[in-house]
Amino acid sequence: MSEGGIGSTFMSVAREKIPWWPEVDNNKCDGCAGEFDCLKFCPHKVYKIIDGTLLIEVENKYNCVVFCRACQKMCPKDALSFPNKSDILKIIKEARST
Amino acid sequence: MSKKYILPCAGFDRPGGKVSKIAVDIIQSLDSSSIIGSIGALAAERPGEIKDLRSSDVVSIDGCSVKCASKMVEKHSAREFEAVEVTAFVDSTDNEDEKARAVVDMVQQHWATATTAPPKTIEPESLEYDFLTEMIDKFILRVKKGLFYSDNDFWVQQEEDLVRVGLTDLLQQMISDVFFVELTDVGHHVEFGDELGSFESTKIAMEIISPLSGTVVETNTNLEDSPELLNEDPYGAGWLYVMHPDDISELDLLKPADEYMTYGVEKAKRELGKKVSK
Repeated sequence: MSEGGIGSTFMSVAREKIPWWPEVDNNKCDGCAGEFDCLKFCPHKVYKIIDGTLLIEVENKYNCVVFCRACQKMCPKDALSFPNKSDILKIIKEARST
Repeated sequence: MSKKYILPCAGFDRPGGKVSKIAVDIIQSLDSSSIIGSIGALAAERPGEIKDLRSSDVVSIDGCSVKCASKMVEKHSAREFEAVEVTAFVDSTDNEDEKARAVVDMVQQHWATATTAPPKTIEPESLEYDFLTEMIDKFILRVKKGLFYSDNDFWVQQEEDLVRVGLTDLLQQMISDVFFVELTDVGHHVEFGDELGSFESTKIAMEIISPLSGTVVETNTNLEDSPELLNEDPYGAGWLYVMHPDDISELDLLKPADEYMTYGVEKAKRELGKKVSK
């Protein structure tokens, strides 16, 4: 339950340098018929409803906890995806060494 | 440790493959309680097989210099074991039955002299407890000295060539009372940042995010019946896993206790500030 966001760091690297957040496939997402499971689940306010629709978008991508994929399991439509962890770790390691 | 587990070569086309098969047949005919292991079952990480392996006095029989059987034991168990290489007998005789009997003799000799060596892992009770503490509002944050900490709020303690993993006092305070823990199986391999089971508290459901790459060699099964140990003793009885790390230098990616305390205090203050501003 890391408290991330702009201005925070993860493993001593500025959060904004770490491209870890979910992508929503709006061809699969149906807003859980108005239930919006991911929005209700995520305590970090990563998601928001696209105004006037039953669709979800990522509003605060840097609030997303690096390496957390808990919302992905909640999604009944399998509409959420995350980057490859080893790619992200590589980015973190490179940023730490500069 | 009274159970005997013998893991023969699985490649019957190997120079010593057939001899391995004959040898284990003889061993089992002499002692039907001995367990004949399966390289295939270990490769598939079947929990029962890994449990047998880890709770027995183990002998591997390698049919060639690739030593698949020994490598498989090393991969799934942190304990000492006896390795017998059949091809070491090639010069002494050409007769496969004779070779097999020589292998059986070696195995029996090992079991006759084997001591009941305790597992390498150290019980948490025997470790010296020494904490950094900070008062944040009305909360006391505790960080145990000598451990390594991930930014996902898990700790790693080095124990010889193994590591013990758990969650931090900060995390247990933020999530409140844990009422359910789902641990992954022994033998499970994860990369840094991968999921290692999950837990649910009165506030949140969350993943256990692995603070290093490695293979689980022991799980804290007490947590299944007593998940409250995570809250009561996060650095002790509430430990999660003992793991065999892939690369111990990954600890460099983690924070020592003092750095984690600075990080934790900031995080806790932000969390408190958020509550006040609501």
